[in-house]
Amino acid sequence: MKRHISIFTITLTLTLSACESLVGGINDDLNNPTDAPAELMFTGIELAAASVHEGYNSLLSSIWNGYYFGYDRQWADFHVYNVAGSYFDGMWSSSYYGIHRNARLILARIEPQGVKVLAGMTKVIMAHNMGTMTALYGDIPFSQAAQLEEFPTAKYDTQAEVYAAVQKLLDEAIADLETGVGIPVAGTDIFLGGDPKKWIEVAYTLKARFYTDTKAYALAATAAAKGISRAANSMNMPHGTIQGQNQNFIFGFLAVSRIGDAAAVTKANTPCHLLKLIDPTLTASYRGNVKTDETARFNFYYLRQGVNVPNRVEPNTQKRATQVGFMSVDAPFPLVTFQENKLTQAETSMRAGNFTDALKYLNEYRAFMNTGGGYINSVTAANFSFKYLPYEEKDFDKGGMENTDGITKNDALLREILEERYVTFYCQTIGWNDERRNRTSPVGIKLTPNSGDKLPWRFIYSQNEINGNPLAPKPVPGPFEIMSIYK
Amino acid sequence: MLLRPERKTEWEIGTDLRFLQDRLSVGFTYYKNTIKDLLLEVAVAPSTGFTSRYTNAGTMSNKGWEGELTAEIFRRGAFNIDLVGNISRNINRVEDLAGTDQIVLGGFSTLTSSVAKVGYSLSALYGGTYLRKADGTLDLNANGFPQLSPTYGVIGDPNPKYRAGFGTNINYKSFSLNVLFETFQGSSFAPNTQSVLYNFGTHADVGNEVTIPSGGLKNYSGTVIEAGKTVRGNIRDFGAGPVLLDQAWYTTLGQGFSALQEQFIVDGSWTRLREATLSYKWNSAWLKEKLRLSNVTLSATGRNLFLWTGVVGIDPETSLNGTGNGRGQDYFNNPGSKSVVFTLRVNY
Repeated sequence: MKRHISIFTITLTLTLSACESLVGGINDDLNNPTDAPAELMFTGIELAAASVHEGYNSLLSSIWNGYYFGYDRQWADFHVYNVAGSYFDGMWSSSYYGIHRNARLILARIEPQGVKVLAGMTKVIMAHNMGTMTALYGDIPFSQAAQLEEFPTAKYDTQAEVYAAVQKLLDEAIADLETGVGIPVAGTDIFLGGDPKKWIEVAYTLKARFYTDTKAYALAATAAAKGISRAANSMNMPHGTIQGQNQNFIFGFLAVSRIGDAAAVTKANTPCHLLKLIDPTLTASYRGNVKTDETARFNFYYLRQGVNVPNRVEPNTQKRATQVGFMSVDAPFPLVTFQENKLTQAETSMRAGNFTDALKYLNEYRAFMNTGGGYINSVTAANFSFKYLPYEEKDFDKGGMENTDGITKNDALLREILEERYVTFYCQTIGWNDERRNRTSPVGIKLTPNSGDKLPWRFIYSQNEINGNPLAPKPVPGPFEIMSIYK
Repeated sequence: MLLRPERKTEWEIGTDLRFLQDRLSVGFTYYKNTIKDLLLEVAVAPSTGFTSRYTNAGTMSNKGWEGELTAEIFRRGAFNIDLVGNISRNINRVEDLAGTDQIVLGGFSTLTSSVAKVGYSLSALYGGTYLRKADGTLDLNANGFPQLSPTYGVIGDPNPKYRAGFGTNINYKSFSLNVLFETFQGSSFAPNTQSVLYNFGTHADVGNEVTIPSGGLKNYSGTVIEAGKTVRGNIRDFGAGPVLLDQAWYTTLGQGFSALQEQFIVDGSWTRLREATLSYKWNSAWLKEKLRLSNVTLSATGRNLFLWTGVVGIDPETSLNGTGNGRGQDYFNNPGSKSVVFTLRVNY
């Protein structure tokens, strides 16, 4: 009898433990490494940055900011502000999983070893990511995000808290970068070749961007003074020609996966806001004048005879011998640029009431444009006309060429600077930040709603986040709900 | 995190009764089961820094009953008639999903998907819903059109309230006839092909022409169409008076690519003549002696010959996701087939 009992006990134990071993370790996927050298992971977060800044966030904000229109299928519906949370799942996973969590892993590994420069670069990317996300989504998880063991459900920090935390992170990044210790091996940094001086400039331009977002213009001016000093120091996302691997994201969307879904005009041929400003044939609204010729920039941004949407003006995805488009197959995408910094200097000077400096910075920017600056390569500028002669004070006086409607001189210059920012920030989410920031002010880009009588203020939360995080805001704010920084 | 194996516990009670020398038999079963520690891959909140994890994702229960009946209702010499019937009802509930609210099983994540969601049955249809007021009525915009809620919700259950089969088996001498009907009642269906064709203007529903009544009507973009005009579209009242559904509506919120999928869900119930077979068995001395054959059977079988359903354009029994857990949707996939088969069987 005793023997039977022991056999029974042994069998039972084996059976139960067999079950455990059947499923234990099922989450350990050998094809999905949980760890890698910090330098490889750094290149990974740079790649994820492409999807955050160049993916849906860019596409949708472009449609809502008058850079182009949703023309067909789903995008005709987004165009009229019908969106739901599941559209933003991809953005949130790229942001938190692709960048934020991996960046935290990199820092946890290299900071104890004193690898300062790489840590500083990582923090700049984290700040760029989270600052962009809070500008689009308002209150978001930051202080407790991507710390599953400690905070299984991350709390939502307020937008003001996120902006403050991002500034602090950039200050830490600058301090790290200034040590010059721990420059990564060649090939790690695909943005700026691991040059700490360039990264410091980018960090300051980002500080200026986020101060501008929150209307702290004096602080923005101070930061921009140390920001990106020349075009070669701009941070761009490089691209190549291999489909599904390294192509320009917007090209992949407009010319590969969703052909025909976006155009620069509606089906009734009404032009989008930016097209009205820079298409020389639309004379009633064209911003050119005797000192300004936008023909080359129009042909860089748009294609008059569309190929993805035949016979319509469309965003330019073409790479031709005489004309290379902004979103051509291997066009680098601007992330943080010299142009942005210069125009922030111009705007913040004007916000401080300093007309002379504001005009000086605007003219420095125009001088850069007048030498063919700001294009992917020299092709488009070599084949189309352009002209950006310096403005003078009298151009902004009442009745001057930039003030035909007789507003104050300062407002006229501010208006010109904000319009130049709008045109320059084509397809970048910061263009929409500007429009929203100045929406209720007398001067700024004034859009007509694509539908109805309201413009959207924000993107909405990822559906997976709403479903999986009980701390997510309820009720979920819709696109027309104003965010705190714009109140 | 340590994973545990799935465990299912079930109890069942049933009866099998026979009457009139076995000429009538009746069976009935009630059952209830619970599956604990379901192993599923679950989406997690992106702010955790992860996208999904494989986990003991929760608990699911089933309860229901099944009844069946067989009757020999006529038997005289070479002529007999049998009737068979069965009916069943299953109530499936996802009881718990270990912290996550739902898991996508199939379909389109931005349009209609099939999900497991706490409190609903497995494969519930999930998609964009109408923006509603606190009292549950539609929160219409200034032009009298519905609006999209910022969050998705369950918009239908593709599982039937009950399903049943009934048929008869008639034999007369060498002839025999088998007929089987099936019915599937109380399910929802997402006709994605139909709704997407609205966008392209190629579905008959969007090919109507209407004359605008006095007072004029607004369309979705707020334009007032004058009375007396004849335009392509439909007139509908969402609760704030009639409005015109025209291209402005059918290329934005009113089409299958829009997130507002709730508007397209229809009753997917059906009843069909699943199968009918008529056969004749030839069995004579001549066959045996001359051809040395034991018998020859001729039969004609039809499958899916008749279908009664409110779903337009496709047999709702189609499955977009093959054999997975997703069901109750179509999207340009092939419908089920209808067939007629003639058979000649020769037995030595």
